[in-house]
Amino acid sequence: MRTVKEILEELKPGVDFEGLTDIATNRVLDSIAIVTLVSELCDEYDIEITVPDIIPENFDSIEAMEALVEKLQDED
Amino acid sequence: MSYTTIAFLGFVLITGILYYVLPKKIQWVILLIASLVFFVLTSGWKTILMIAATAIIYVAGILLSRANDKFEFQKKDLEKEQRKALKAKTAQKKKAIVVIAVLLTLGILLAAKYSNFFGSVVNSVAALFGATAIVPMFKLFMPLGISYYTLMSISYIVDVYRGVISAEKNPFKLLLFVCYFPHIVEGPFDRYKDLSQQLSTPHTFEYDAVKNGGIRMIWGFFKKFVIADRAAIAVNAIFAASGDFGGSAILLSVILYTFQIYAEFSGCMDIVSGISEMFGVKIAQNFARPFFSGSINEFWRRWHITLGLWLKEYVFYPVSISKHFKNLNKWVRAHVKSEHLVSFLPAAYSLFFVWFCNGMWHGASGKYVFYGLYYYVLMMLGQLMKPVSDKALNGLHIKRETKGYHLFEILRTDVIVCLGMLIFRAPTLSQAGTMLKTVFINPNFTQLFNGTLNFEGIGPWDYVVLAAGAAVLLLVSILEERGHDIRADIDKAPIPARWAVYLCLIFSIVIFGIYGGDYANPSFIYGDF
Repeated sequence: MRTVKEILEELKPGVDFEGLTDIATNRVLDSIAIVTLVSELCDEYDIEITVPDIIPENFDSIEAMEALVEKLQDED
Repeated sequence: MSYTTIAFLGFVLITGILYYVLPKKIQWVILLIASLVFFVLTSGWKTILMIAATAIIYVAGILLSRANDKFEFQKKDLEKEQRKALKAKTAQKKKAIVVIAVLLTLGILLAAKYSNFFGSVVNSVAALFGATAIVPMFKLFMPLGISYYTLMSISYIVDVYRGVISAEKNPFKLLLFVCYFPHIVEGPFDRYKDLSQQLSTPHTFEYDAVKNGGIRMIWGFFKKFVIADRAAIAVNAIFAASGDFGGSAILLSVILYTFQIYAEFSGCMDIVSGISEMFGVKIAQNFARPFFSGSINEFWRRWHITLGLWLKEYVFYPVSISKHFKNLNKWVRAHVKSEHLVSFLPAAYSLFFVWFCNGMWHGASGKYVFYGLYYYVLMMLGQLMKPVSDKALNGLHIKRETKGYHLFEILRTDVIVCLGMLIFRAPTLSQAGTMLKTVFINPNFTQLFNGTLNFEGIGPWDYVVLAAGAAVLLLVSILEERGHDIRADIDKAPIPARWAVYLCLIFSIVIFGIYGGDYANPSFIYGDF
C-alpha cells in the first residue's frame, strides 16, 4: 500500500511535501489536484471522502491527510 | 426600494435606531421585519416565492434532522451489520429528502427565470424536424433576488444534508438568513454557517463599527454615483447605436463598461457590507481587487468570489468526487500516456459544468452560456498549451517570476476580461462580434476628439471626473493590494486630516455624483440576475 507521501509525490513530481503546512491553503495543490488526490486516497485506503471533508485543514500537510485517512478508516 | 435612494437611507436609519434602542434579544426580529418590509416594498406579491423557498428548506431541514436523530437512537441496540444496513437506509432517505428539496427550490427559479429559455431550445429542436412550436412562451417575472436566495437556500439544505450545520429549528430565523436585506439584491452568497450565529447574537452599539460601516457605505456610493452611473451614460449611448461609432469609441465604451460594472457591483458590495457592519454582522467578501489578477483563474477567485465558492462547493466537488468522474479519471490514467493530458482531461470535464452553470446563472440565454464557456475555453486552452508556453518562455529567456512578466500577465488578463465584458454587455452575440470587428477594421480615432462622444448628460468634464474617479479607485486598490487597511490607516491620521478625507468623499458624491432631477439612476446590473 502506498503512503500518502508517495501518492503526493506521484501526483506532483518534484515537489517536496515534507514539512509543508499550507499545501491546500497556498495552492501547492489546486482544486483539480486535490480532487485527484481524493480519488487516489479513496482507492488506496478504501475510504469514502465526502465534500465536507475537502477543507484546507485536512489537506494542508501530510500529517493532516494521514489523520483524515485514519479518521475515515475508523468510522468505517 | 433601491439601495441608492434617500428612502433606503431613511429605512436603514430607522432600522438602526430600532435595532439598538429596543431590547437586544429582539434584534434579530427587527432585522427580519426590516428585511420583509424591504422585500415587500421592492417585490410585492412575489415575496411569497421567497417564503415558499424558505418553507421548503425549513421542512426538509427538519426531516433530515429527524432522520439523523432516528438513526442515532436506533443504532445503539444494533449489531455492526445491522447498523450498516440502517445507515445505508437512512442515507438513502436523506438523499431523497435533499434531492426533492433542491428540485423544488430550483424549480421556482427555473420557472421564473429559465422557462422561456428551455422552451425556446425545445422549440428550436422541434423546428429542425419541421414541427411547430411545442412549448408556449410566457411573460416571465423576475422576483427580487431570486437567483441569490435560491442558491443560498440550496447551500443551506445541502450543508444540513452533509452534516456541516444542524437544521434551524426556528423557521423565522431561517427566513431572516434567506431574506436578510443587505444580501438579497446582489448577494453576496452568504453561507448559513457563517451568518446564522451573527444574526442571532445580540450586538451592543459600537461607535467604531457604525462609523467604519458608514465609511464603507459612502465609499460604495462614491463608486456607484461618481464612476458607475457616469460611465453608464456613455456606455448606453454607444452600445445602443454601435453602428454609428468607430473602433476606438467602441473600445473606449468596452473599457468604460468594465469600469462601470466593477465600480457598481463592488460598490454595491461596499454599501451592503457597510450597512451590515453597522448592525455588527459581517457578510462574505465578494471582491478582492480582481484587475490585479495574473490569470483568468485568479480573476474568478477575486471577482464575485462567493459565486465561485458556491460553484466550487456545490457543483465542482460533487462532480469531481462522483463515481463517473472517478471512472473517467481511472480510464484516462490507464489509456493516456501524456502526463499533461492525464491532469488536463479530468479537469476539462469537471470544470465544464462549473462554467456552464456560471454562464447560465448570469442569464437565461445562449449569450450568457457563451459568456461562461468563453472563460472556460480560454482557461482550458491556457492549461493545454502550458508546456508550449513554458518552452517558448525558456527559449526567450523570460522568467515567469519577474515583475515585468507579472505585469504582462495582468494586462493580458484584463484584456480578456474586457472582451468578456463586451460579450456580456452587447444585446446579442452577433452585435458583440460586429463591434469587435469594428475595433480592428475601422478604428476612427477622430471620434475620440471631435465631440462625437459627448452625449446628453456627459461632456468633456465628465470624462475628466471619470478618469479622476478611476484614478482614486486604482490608488485605493493598489494600497489594499499592498496590504493596507485604508480605513484603519485613515483612523490613525490626526482628526483634521481624517475628517478632511471623510468630507472630501461625501462632497465628491454630492458634487460629482450622477443623480437628481429627471435622471433615474440605473438599477444595479447584478440585481437583474
